Amino acid sequence: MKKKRYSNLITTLSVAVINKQINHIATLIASGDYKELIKIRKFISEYAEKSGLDLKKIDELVLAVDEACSNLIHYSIEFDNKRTIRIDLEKTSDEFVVNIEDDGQPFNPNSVKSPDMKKYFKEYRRGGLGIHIIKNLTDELIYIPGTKSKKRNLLKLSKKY
Amino acid sequence: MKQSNALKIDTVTRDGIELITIEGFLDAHTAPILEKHIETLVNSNRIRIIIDFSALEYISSAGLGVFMSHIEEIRNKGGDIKMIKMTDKVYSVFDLLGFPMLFNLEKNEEEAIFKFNNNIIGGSD
Repeated sequence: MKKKRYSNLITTLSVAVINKQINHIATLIASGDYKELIKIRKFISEYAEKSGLDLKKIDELVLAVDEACSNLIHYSIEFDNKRTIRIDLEKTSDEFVVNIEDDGQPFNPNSVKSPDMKKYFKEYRRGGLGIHIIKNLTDELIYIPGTKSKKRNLLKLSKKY
Repeated sequence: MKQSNALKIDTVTRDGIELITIEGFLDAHTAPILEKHIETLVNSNRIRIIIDFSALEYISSAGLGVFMSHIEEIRNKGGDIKMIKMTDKVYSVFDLLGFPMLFNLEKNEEEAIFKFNNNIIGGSD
């Protein structure tokens, strides 16, 4: 009896996954250099526009991806231009998804608290706003750190249509 | 002056005020160029600065960082950075993080000069 219930649950979950059809759109490989940011932004903006995302949302997503890649180039692959960031674009029925992979030090953006901006300005602080921007401008942020068998870290940023 | 294809910087000095025009993209790659430029002005005590954003197409948090890194020293010396003619797209990035709390964002040069002449410093209303 118990077994039957589990099997029903698994069937339901499988159907849910199948219903959310994911279409891969394009891939970009960028090296660990800030010069690549302009290329990354053009890539996101071109395909997001083709996929029908509206202009304001494209601007927001482009900025979120720029912030994520700037952080990765700086802190994860540490300006090593022989190393790469891989960006894959996907589309589902209701979302435009940007998957960003790197092989550097794992760092979970969800572990960062949002700054108190009043305090930030009062103390004339600097930096540390990238993750705050990413969280504010995307509808979903998923981080999967690399493992021994699969070394690359994955950051998934989604924007709803 | 060091320039980049992605960011052009021009400065005109008039009546003790530096009007800096920035054109293009202000991101992690180009931010150090503007930072160096402002640093040179601050070092020679040219600290009444207006930045014209009308031709700036893009800004990321690295660009915002340039202004954060100089504003304390400039204000301590009695100067300020005032920003004018920001496009809606660039303004939305400033606004997202609450930067209008700290900086004067004005419509045009005349309004920025008025704020300088009347010692109005800090966030816009």
